[in-house]
Amino acid sequence: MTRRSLVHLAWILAAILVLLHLDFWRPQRPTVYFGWLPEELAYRLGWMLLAWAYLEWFTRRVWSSEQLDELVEAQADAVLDRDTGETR
Amino acid sequence: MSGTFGQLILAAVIYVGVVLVLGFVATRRASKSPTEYFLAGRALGPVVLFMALFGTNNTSFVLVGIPGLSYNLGLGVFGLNAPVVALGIPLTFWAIGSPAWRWARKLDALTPAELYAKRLGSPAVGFLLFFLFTLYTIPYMTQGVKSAALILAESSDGALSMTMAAVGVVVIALVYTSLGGMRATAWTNVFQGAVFMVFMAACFFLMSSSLGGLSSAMEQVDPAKLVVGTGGLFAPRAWASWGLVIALSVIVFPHMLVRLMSAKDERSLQTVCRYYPIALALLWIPAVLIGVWGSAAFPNLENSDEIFQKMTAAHLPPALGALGFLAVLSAVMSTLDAQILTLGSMVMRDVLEPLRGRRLPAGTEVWLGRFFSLGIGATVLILAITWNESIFGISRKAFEGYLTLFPTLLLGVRWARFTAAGALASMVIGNLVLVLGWMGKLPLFGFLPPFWALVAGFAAAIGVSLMSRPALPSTAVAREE
Repeated sequence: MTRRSLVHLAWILAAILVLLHLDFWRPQRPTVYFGWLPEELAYRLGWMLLAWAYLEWFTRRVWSSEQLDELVEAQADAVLDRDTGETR
Repeated sequence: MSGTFGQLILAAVIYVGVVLVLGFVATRRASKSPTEYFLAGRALGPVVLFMALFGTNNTSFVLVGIPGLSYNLGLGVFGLNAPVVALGIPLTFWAIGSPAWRWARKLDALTPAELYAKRLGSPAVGFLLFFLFTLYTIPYMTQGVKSAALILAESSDGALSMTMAAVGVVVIALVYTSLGGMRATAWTNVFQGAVFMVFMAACFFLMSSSLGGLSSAMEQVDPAKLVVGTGGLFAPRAWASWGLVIALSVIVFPHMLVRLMSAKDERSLQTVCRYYPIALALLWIPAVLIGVWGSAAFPNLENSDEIFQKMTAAHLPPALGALGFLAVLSAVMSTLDAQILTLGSMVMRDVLEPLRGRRLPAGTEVWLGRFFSLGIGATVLILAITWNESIFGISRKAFEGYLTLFPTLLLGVRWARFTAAGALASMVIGNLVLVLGWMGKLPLFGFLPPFWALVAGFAAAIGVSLMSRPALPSTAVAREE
């Protein structure tokens, strides 16, 4: 999978998580599973588990140090040049 | 809390002893340079960085304010806050924290306002950022001191007044922050974070046991408190707006961003992001359940912020009373110390030095930072004693205000075409929209005022930047594109 595809996938998965968080379609019932776990809490904890898995994947596969290094290096050099009145 | 006053005093003495020793040890390494004092030499590894960020992020807002809110609104408070925070905070660490960490190193910036002023080549951006950071941080500090003082005064059964408790909290934080700077506050945060995490875990198990087990505890709760309510923050557009506020405002806390700038390396930041959701769940579940269970155990409380203290007093063994006292103290102090340090350093770096036009000697800079921290501590102390509003109410104002700075902080480290004029317009217009929204002068269409402030802030940032002269040479802009 290319870097660009990975980034697109990350955006899509994040959007799905956000949509699942905005769960106004879900009926509100005071059901308690196993006698102690309210449905509302179970849903949120399940969502958080998905978010944790997403972040595990994101930080290992999508978070690119090289890309950020390149982005900031080029701009920071330009800032330093601007402030010292030099040109590269 | 059920500990006797003697136990509370003993616990406080041990607590103060530990944080002062940590502050003293850190002092030996802290006075060498401003970078060492304000950013711990940019060398915080994953464990200390995680605890420093987590301890700073979570204050009495979670330990006292959230049980109070859950007491009134039920389990929906968990869904309203915890999940979106667990995803949003790590993503903003990546979106803003990681490039800001790089920019700070490259430009030798010690504060967030200094970073953006240098990046955009505009002291005015630094001044305005400093002003707005301070404007929204002082109330946030105030709610921390106020809630800690409330809990401590109540725990002492009248032996300690609110004023004395507030003075104690501020003085202790000032002493060890002044001693050791960022390294001291980071090290003490490891201890403080461990105290309040252990306490909240203990609360969950011991309270449920005292209530007859988890099933029995849940059975006693009004079924209406086990679902998401209707209206207010639970209305769909308000829910979505609040999600933005709570998820995006944390990175804007100057005391959080400056801690990210203290990271040793990128791997430390990534590790923090992986563990953040788990730690947040472990902290928020007990915080919300204390309020929900408390609504059954203590119905009709006049001040719902008292539920944390009432539940711990009623359902924990007496010996744990002192630990509860320390948990609140730790949660407040681990945030307060970072706020004091950050605002102190910002006064120095973002106001005095730009006005003087030259850098102060390193030793003078550290000492003046300490002096201004004292002034900020005194201001917060006065406000904590005199300001009469709920913990959640004060915190909410601060969070909504912080959100108005999000466009500037994001675009400033991610968009080469972003300009100082765009940043100034974004902050001014965003805050204007927020205040008008608060005053009820704008049609909100069901959204909260900060939602529109964010939209207006982004629109102004992008529109004005495209109409103004680039802050960077066209070659740098072109390279990004």
